[in-house]
Amino acid sequence: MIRLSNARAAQIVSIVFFILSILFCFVFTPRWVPKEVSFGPSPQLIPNIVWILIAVCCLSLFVSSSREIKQAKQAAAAAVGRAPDESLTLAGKEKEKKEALSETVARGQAAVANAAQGIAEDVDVMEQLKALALEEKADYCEIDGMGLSYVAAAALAVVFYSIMAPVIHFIPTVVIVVLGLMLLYGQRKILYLILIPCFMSFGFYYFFNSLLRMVLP
Amino acid sequence: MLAQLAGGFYNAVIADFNFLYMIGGVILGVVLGAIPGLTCLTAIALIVPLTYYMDTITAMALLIAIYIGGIYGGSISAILLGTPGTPASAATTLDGYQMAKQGRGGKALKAAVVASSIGILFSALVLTFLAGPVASLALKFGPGEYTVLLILALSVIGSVAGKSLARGMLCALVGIFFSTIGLDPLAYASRYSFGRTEFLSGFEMSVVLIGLLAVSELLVQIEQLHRKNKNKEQTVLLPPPKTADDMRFTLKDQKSCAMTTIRGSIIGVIVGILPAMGSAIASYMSYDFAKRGSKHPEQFGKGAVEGVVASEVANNAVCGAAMVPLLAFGIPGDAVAAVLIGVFMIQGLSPGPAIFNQAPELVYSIYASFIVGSLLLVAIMFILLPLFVKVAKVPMSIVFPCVIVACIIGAYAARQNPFDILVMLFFALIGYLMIKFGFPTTPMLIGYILGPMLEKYFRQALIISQYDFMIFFSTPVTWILWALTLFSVVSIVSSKKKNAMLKMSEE
Repeated sequence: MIRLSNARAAQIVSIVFFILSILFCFVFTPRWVPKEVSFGPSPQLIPNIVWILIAVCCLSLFVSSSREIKQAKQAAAAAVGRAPDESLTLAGKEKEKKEALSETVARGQAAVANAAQGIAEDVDVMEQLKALALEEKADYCEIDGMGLSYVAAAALAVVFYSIMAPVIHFIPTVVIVVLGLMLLYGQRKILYLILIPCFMSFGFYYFFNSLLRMVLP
Repeated sequence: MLAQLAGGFYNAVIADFNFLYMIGGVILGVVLGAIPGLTCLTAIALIVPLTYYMDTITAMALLIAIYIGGIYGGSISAILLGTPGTPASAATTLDGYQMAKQGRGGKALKAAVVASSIGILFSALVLTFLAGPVASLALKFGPGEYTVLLILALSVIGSVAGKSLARGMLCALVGIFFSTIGLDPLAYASRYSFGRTEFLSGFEMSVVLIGLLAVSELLVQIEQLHRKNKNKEQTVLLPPPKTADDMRFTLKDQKSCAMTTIRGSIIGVIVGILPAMGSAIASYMSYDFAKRGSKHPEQFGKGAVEGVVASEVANNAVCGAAMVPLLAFGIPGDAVAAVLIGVFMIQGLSPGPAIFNQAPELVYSIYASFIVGSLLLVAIMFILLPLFVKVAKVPMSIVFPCVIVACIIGAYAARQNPFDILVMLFFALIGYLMIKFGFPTTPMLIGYILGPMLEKYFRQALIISQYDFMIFFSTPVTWILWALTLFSVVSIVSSKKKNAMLKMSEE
C-alpha cells in the first residue's frame, strides 16, 4: 500500500507537471504540433499558453504544499513537546515520525467517527461541517492497489482483444462479459492466470511496437 | 411562448415515444442514485454513449430524466442507510436517518419525493422565464467577449471545485491540454498525434467522461468496500412504523413545511444559477435557514421532517437553475450541465444563445422535460417506492462490477473502437489518482469540454482583430467580465486565506 500525506502528494504532482510543462513547451509541442498553418494564429499558441499556465500553477502548488509540510512538521514537533529545530537522534526522529503519524491517523479516525456519529446522533450542521473539515485536515492518500488491479485487468483484456481480434474475430463484448463475471465473483486470481500469459506472449510486442512508433519520428 | 412551450411538451413527451425514455430515465437515475458511491453523474456518463444513436430531443429528455431521478435517488440511501447516495443528499441524512430509526422512514421518503418534485418544478419555471431574456443579451457577444466569458467560467469553476486555487486551476488546465490533442478546431492541423491515427480525432468526450467521473469513482468505492469488508461493519436494523401516519406525508406536515419549501426553492435556484456552487451547498444552506426559521429548531437533527424537506427541495431546485447559464451563455452551472454541453456538441449543436435560433424546439423541449420529469418522479416513486428501497440494499460487490462492465461497454459503444476502452481506462487511472491525491476531477472535465470552445473563440477573435490582443479589452462588456474574473479570483483567494487563518487560530 502506498501512503503519503496530501501535501506531499501535491508536491510530487507539482514537480511531475512542472517537468512535463518544460518537456511539452520545448520538446513535444515543437515536434508534434505544426508551427504555422495557412490562416489564423499558430496551432501551437493555445498548447503553449496552457503549459506555461500549468508551470505557474505547479510553482504555486509546490510553494503552498511545502508550507503545509513545514507547518505539519512544526505541529508534530510541538505535539511531542520539543522545538522543531531541536537536534534529534535517528531513533528519536523515527519515534517522533511514528508518534506524529499515529496521532494524525488517530485524529483522522476520530474525525471520520465523529462524522459518522454526527449522522447517527443529533449533531447540528456546524458540528457536522466541523467534523468534515477535521477529516479533511487529517487527509492522507492511501492507494492499496485494489482499484488499480481492476484497471490493470481491464487494460490487459483490451490489449489481448486488440491482438487477437484480427485472428479470431472475438467480439469485444465476450471479453468484457468474461471480465465482468470474473470481477463479479471476485476471481481476480483466475483472471490474472488467463490474462498474464496472454499479455506475456502478445502484449509486450504490441506495447513496445506502439511505444516505438510514438517516440520515433 | 405558450404555443412554443406546448410544442416542447409534444416533442419531449409524446413524439418518438419520449415518454417511455423519460420513465426509464427517472427509474435508472433513482436506482443508480440510491446506490451509495454512485451519483447521477455516473448514470449520465453511462448513458451518454447511447445518445449517439438518438434524436437530440430524445437524448436530452432521457438525460434530464436521469438527472432528476439521480438527485432524488441519493435521498433513499441517505434516509434508509444513513449514507448519502450523492453528495447533494448529505444534509438529508441529518434528519432522514433519524426518522428512519424512529420507524418514520416512509414519511421521510415521501416528504423527500414531494419536496424534490416541487424544487425541480420551481427551477424549471425559473429556467423557462429567465433563460430566454438572458440569452438575448448574450447574443450581442462577439468572439472577444466569449473568450473572456469562458475564462471567467474556468476561473470560477477551476478554483471553487478544488481544495486550493492552484489545484483546481491545474486540473482545469490539464483538461484543456487533453482537449488540444487531435485536429485543431480552425485549421485542422494535427496536434500531439505521435504519428498514430487513433489520436487524430482526439479523445471521445463520452469516453473521457466515463473514465474520469464514473470508473475512477468506482475504483475508489471498490477500495472502500474492500476495507469495509475487512472491518465487517454491522448494519442497523430499522424499526417498523408505529402508526399509519409514520408512512404518510400528511397535509399537516405539508402545511408545516410550506415556508421551508418556498425558502429552499429560492436558495436552490440562486445557488444553481451561480457556476460551480453545486447541490450540496444549496442543501446545507437551505437546511441551516430552515433551522433558524423554524418554530422548533431543537427538533432538527432528531428527525424533523422539515429538515428533510429543506435539504431535498434545495438540491433539486439546483437542477433546472444550473441550465440557465448553459442555455444563455453556453457555460455550465454544475458538472451535469457540463456533461450536457458535451451532449450538445455530440449532436452537432453549439450550446449558448445561438441555440435559441438554431433549435428553439429543443430549448422548449428541455423546459418541458424538467416539468414532466418532476411530475413523473412523484408518480413513479409513489408506485415503485418499495422496489427502490430494496435496490439501496443490494450488495455493492455485485453492483460495482456490473457497473464497470456497463462502463466498458459504454466506452466501446461510442465508436466501436477498442482503443476507446484503453482511453477510458487511462482517464479512469488519472481520475483515481486525482481523487486519491485530493485533486478534483470535475474542473478537469469542464476544462476538457470548454477548452475547444475557448480556443475557437480566442483564435477567431485574433483573426478578426488581426492579432491585436486589445480585442479582449475593447468593449465595456469585456471590461465587466474581466472585472468579474478578477473579483472571483481575489475573493476565492481571500476566502481560502481566511479559512487557513481560522484553522491556524483553532489549532
